[in-house]
Amino acid sequence: MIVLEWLFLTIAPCDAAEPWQLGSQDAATPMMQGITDLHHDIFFFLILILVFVSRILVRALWHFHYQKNPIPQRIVHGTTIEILRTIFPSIIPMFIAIPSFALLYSMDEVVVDPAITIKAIGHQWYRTYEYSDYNSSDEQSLTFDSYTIPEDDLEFGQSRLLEVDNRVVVPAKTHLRIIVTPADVPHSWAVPSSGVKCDAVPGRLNQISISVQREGVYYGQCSEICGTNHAFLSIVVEAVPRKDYGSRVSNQLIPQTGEA
Amino acid sequence: LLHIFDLFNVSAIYSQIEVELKTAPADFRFPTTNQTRHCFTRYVEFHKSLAAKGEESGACEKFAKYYRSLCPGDWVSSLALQLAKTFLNCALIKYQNLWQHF
Repeated sequence: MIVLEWLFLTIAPCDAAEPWQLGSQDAATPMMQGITDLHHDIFFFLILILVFVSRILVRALWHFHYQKNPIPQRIVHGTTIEILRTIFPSIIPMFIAIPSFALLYSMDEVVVDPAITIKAIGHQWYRTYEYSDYNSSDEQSLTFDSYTIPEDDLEFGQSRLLEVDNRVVVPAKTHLRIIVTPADVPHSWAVPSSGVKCDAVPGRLNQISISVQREGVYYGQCSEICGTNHAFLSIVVEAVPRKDYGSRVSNQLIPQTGEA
Repeated sequence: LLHIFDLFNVSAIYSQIEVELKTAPADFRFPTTNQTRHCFTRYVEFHKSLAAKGEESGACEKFAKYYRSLCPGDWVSSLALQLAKTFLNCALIKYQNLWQHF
């Protein structure tokens, strides 16, 4: 068992955009896992229909080529086939709809109260994160800005246009509520590994609930055009073990409050 | 940078700062994605409770925590400003009513 776990740690999950990437990033939340599973379900029927339709098309082109078959057929009706080709394609969307609606409604269900609220506020062109659960007054709040590291300042191995100076630290396996809002123009907070894309609309607080299931660093990018530096507004979420989260937050709270 | 000298005096403080993971609960009155009204309602509830119970009683602290968790800092300042304006308007109207009696 220990050997198997160790092997797992040597595989790097895809939590950021990769060059020439075809599939989705690896799931880090149950929501993303559900989306990936739905995609696999639909893709099965997609391939089924694709193969079936192309076979019929190729067959028709091949067998009814004008040189091989100069006189066209004069069939105008075919009741059986018409009934079949109406009923059969209407059953397939039912098979697609069942898992799709199941996922859609389960995404909206909030069965457990969140443990933490994090506010992700978009500005032109940086992000501010507020952790205000520990305030004892209106002014004090764990707030920090998050700027994308410019290309010239990148260290060896860091991703271009994805790394930021201050990451959003969250505890793993905890229900989070993320409130997304902008301070100026519309933005969007998107982290593909977590299956999250939430538009930040001025004057509105949008809520999303996630529960990151594994520790790691997850990257995302702004997904709503917000001006010149829309490409330079990335998001990095760092999921740490729950017990480490307490010390990380205390670390940042101490300089804020200045006393124990 | 601040973390480096935190390591020296932080071990005693760790035992004192208990970071409890608690936040505003999911409110069934606001089941949808849009939580703007939720933030506003919690703020209003806090001030209503202050008016009803007074500042010294700790019962209102719960609502205060809720609105601070939900509302961004800038929104809290503008809500406070709005509240102050509303109080001022009410006071002015009362004053005008009194003056009319003379």
